[in-house]
Formats: sequence, structure tokens, C-alpha cells
Amino acid sequence: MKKIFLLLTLFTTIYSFSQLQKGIAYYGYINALSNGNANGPDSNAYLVFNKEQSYYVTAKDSLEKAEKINEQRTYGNKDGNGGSIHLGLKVSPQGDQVGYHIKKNTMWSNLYYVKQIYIKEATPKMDWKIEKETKKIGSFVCKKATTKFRGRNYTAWFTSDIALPFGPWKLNGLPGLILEAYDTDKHIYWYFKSLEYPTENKENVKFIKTEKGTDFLTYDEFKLFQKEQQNKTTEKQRIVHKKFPDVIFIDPKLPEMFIEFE
Amino acid sequence: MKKLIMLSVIGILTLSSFNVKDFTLKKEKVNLQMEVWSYNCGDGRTGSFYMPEGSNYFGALRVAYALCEA
Repeated sequence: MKKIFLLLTLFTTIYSFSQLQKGIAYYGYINALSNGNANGPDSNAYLVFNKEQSYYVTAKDSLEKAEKINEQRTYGNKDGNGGSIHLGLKVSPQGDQVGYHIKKNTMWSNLYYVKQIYIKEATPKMDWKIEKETKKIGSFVCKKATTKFRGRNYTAWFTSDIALPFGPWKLNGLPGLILEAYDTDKHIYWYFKSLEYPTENKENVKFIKTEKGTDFLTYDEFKLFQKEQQNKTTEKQRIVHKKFPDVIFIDPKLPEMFIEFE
Repeated sequence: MKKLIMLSVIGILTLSSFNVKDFTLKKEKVNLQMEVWSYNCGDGRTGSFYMPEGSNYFGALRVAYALCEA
């Protein structure tokens, strides 16, 4: 009886350990949406995952050095004609996060755009096309896959060594962990830094909670928010134009403002 | 009479083509010497503008600050 009890305890421990076994992937994240080329601010990002869910975060103040946050930087245009002025790195205390639960078929996310915006949606289905091409990232052989998602064409490199459908930001649904991903022209680019799997790292899969007095938006509501911000930017440019009449302001375009816009 | 109507139509069409509704100009109307700058306020807000010929980086910086502080 004692032996059975011991075996049962051992089995339960091993089972629960395997269920909770987690990994953490570290990425660099370049967002050059407004720059018109692949040259833009480079932020730190990470993805914590277990077999059931993942948690991704970037643009978080604690992940960046203080001097980098406050640094004013300019990235030149390809032809050297103008550039992109960044009045500090975009960060917030909680960062831009995405939480994904496979069984619940749900994604929770937030992004900082003047204020924190929270979105809850059914996991977006991505129609990936797996290509024959492979390349090595770190010590992992990765396969190439492509898809179109909310206005952008993405290329992702995933490893079947970690057969979990997670990736940076909202990218999901491949038969292996995504280690690198980018859109056409690399206006958005996640590059691999390191991976711990399994890991004892203290970072855990977190649940995204809204701030007091705010609710999760649906994706359609978020699209309305985007339109609102686009109009606000136009209005501000109109006001500033009075002060700088020789400057020609360009109507803000959603693809230059947000990663997802369709 | 016919000629008068035709002339009126041409006149109206010509005048309407000059009717610029917005201060924003399309790219093709912009002088190639103008520099295009984008600004990022650090809180997600972004946008872009053309600086007039002969202006420099500091001019663009002033505009960027004005936009982010507006």
C-alpha cells in the first residue's frame, strides 16, 4: 500500500512537472514602421511559455537601460534625405504584452499608445505556408514559413525541436517555436537572442489585467481606436502647421502607426 | 450659346482643379529637394512631414517637438 502511494506521488510529481515545464526565448525587436526602412529603435523582448500558454512582452521599462529610454535618436533614410526622429524609446511599466492560451482559444494583449489599450480576442488563425528553405538560428535548424496577417506579409523561422505553436507578439500556429520573424522590408523585425528550455527562470507566464476603470476592447473596437488616433494626429498636424506654414505634413497612415491595421 | 456653355464648363472644371481642400499635398507635388522626416513621440504617436528646401535637422527637430507637445 505504501509503495503504491509512493509511486502515485512520484507519478503525480513528474506529471505536474512536465506540465509546468517552461521555456523562455529572448528576442530583439525592431519597430521601424514610420521610418520607411529597416532602421529603427531596437527593444528587448521575451516570450515565456509552457505547453498550454505563452506570454510575450516588449517595450517594458525594466527591460531597457534608463539612458536608452530617454535618449533622443535619429535614424537616417535610405537615400540620406531626411530621417526618423525618436524623442525617446517607447516603454511603459507593464510593457506591450500578449498572452495566449491554447485551450481557451483566446489572446489578451495590451499596447501603449498615449494610454494603455487592452484587447481580448479569439486567437487569430494564421494561414501559414511552410517552405522548404531552412537556416540555422543559434543551435537550432529552423524552417521558413510565410503568412499574411492583418495587413502585413510575414516570414517566420521556427524550430521543430520545440514543438509548440508560440512566437513573438501574436504570431502563432506553427508546428514549432518561432525564433525569428519579420514583415516585408523588415519594418517589423524580431530577431533571436537566446533560449532557455526547460528553464528555472523566475519569469512566469503572466495574465494580462486591465487597469482600474478600463476594459478589454474587441479587435473591432481597437480598429475604431486606431481611426480615432489617426484623426487626432491629423488634427494636431493641422494645428502645428499654423506655426510652421512652410512644412508640409503628410496625412498619417495606419500601416505607419500600428503593427496590425486590417 | 453652345460655345458659351462649353466655355463655362471648361471654366468650372479649371477652377475646381485649383480648389485645394487640404493643406496636405500629395507626394508628387513635393519638390524632390525636400527632406521627409518622421517623428515618434515615445508614447506610440508617429507621423511625418516634409521640410522646406534649405532647412536642416534642427528645424525638423523643432517641428517634431512641437507635434509631440501639441
